[in-house]
Amino acid sequence: MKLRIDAFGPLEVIEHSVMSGNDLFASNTFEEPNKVIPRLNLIEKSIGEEFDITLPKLSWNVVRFEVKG
Amino acid sequence: MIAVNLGTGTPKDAGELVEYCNIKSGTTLSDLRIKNGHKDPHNFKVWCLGNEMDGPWQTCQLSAEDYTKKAKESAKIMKWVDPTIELVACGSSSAEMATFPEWDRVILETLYDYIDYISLHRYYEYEGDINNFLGAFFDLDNLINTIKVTADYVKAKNRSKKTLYLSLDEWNVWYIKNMQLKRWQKTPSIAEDSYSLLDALVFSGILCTILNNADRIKISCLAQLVNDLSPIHTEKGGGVLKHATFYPFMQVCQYGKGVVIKNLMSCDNFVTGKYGEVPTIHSSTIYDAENNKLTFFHLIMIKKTISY
Repeated sequence: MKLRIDAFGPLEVIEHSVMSGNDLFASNTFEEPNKVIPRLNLIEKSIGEEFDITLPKLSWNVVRFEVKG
Repeated sequence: MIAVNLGTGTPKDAGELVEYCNIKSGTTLSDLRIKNGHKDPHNFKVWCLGNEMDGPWQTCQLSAEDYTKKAKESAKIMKWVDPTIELVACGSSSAEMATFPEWDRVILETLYDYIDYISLHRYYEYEGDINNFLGAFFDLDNLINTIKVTADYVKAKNRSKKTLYLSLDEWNVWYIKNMQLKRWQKTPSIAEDSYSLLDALVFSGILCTILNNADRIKISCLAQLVNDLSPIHTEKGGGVLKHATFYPFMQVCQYGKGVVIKNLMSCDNFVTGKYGEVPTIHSSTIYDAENNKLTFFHLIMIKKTISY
């Protein structure tokens, strides 16, 4: 996904957390309590106003930026 | 937030509950509270004028006209007892009610000047069609818009200067068809749903819709928090399990603070049987000026990974 952020000046991407998986019906159990949890995506630290981010199919993403300006 | 009983209860009961809870001392009922062991008043700030009074499941369901009369007289008494409280009127208990949204228009035309919020409730469950389920965020947005424009119509009709806020005081993914009512048991488990990744995605979409409507939704309550239809499951004797829905709720509580930025999104749509065409990406953007952070919440409903 292409993301353009105007009016904040340069930003640094600091975190991308993703919740996804191949089994949409997977759930957490006492045996497997961490089966469906957000996982941190390895990101290349970059500063700018435009970012290309890869987002997995059927996923929940939290992408956080620090405003550097 | 607390609710008065406008089913079997009377406007007098409602006023007396405010007196019992919020008056410091020196009246019959505030002194009774002190005698019962609560020296300081509870100071409940927000009071709901009944709950889901349009519903046939309600003890003493009311028509919109009857609810309006009862809620208006209760509101007068309650605010006379404590003028600092805020009041929430029962809106339609679901967009699927036959009386939606006429109920909302009718009650607002009389109650508008007496209340501070109108309530909305909405639950979703997977019924075998993934696209329909994923479209929940879109449906909720439509519901919120319908209530907003209904309130704004009444504002114009009543020549009011006040803009009414919305209280989304019940929402969740809830497998209501699996609910098992059990009679005369102590704390029975009746709706302890487990939540899948799919549920969590739908849940996350609802969170984005709520954030994006923060200018009008001033109160929003996930129903419930522990065990029944909840992100947290506990077992008798110990043991806590965090369901998949726990995590997006935690993230939005943690990072969804500040100002909501309206973003422009260009993406494909997908087709749902229930709601027509729905965008494949739903997002919300929050600027936290205090900590100089910008957070993007993105729900991706495309069925293959996208990258550029």
